Amino acid sequence: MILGHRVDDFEHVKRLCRSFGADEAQAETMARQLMKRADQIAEQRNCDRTEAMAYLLEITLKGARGEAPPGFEGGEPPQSKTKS
Amino acid sequence: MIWAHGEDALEFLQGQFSQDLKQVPAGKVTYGFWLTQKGKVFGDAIVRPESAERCLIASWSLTADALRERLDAYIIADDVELEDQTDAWKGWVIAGEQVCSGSAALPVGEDTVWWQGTEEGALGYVLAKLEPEWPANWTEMDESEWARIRIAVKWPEVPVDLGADDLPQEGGRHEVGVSFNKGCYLGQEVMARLEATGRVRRQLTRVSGNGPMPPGDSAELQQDGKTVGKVRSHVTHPDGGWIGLAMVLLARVDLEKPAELKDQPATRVEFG
Repeated sequence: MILGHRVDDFEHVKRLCRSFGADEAQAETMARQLMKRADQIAEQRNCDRTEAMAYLLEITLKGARGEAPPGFEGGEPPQSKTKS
Repeated sequence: MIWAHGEDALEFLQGQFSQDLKQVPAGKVTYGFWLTQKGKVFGDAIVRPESAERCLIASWSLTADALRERLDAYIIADDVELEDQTDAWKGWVIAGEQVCSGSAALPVGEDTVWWQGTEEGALGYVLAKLEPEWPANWTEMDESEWARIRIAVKWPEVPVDLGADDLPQEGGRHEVGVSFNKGCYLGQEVMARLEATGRVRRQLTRVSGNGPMPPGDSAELQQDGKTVGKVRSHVTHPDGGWIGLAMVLLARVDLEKPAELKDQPATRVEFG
């Protein structure tokens, strides 16, 4: 678990993005987008926003390391758990 | 029909689609594939980039839900949203010799999208919010006529003829639907490797038979008792018999010799 409880802290997410290798401007854009995307995923998949943000940040971290995130191995994305 | 909109719309789709969307003039349409990481066909679509922030996507092989789910999985920090517009649009397939020249008579604009199809000019796709005024000498065709025309020009129907276990090259559609000059997109590695070094092991081929139609959805073809391929789609021919598209194994098949249907050995199948 990368974050703990600070998913709503924009500055915290931005610092994480900086630690992934982004410069200041990129990190700000990424953090803004990730928070927006976390809201969308939480809505679509009927899950907690913390869970959504953790998912996104894990993918971002894996991507920064050149690793396939869990569920993306083998060439197919993970099945999304969409709200019916 | 899906509108992709947001600051990163075109950039995001560029990383997902097999065609080079950045080379398409604004308002023009291109055809291509959504591939898996292994280069297999997830679906096909026509895409009209309106601007860097707005692109229209239309697919006959995927529902809006299926395509949105697929694209959604790859939206991480991109500013792009996908809006289902299916209910607001109608689609038609058009076919015949006049597709290339005749399509110039179709109204164009924000509410009409058409793709004139292959270089042979035999078929295309039209989408509009309102039914266009068709040229006076155009007539309505049924599904069988459409099938005969697309089979005659070897235009595969996704996913029936070209699907999840197939590469675009195996359907002969890589020249129309894949850019080999663009940067990274899902499936690009396999496409580039195949283009540079390899050849496919299977190929979609026209077939015709003089007996009963192939049974079932995917009839096995045999030569000398060995499996050489499968008929993926077929339609009756007005001259008698039937025509179809078959995926054949290039290492095994002899295209100069007839084959037979495994479950209907009395039917003689010719290639080409």
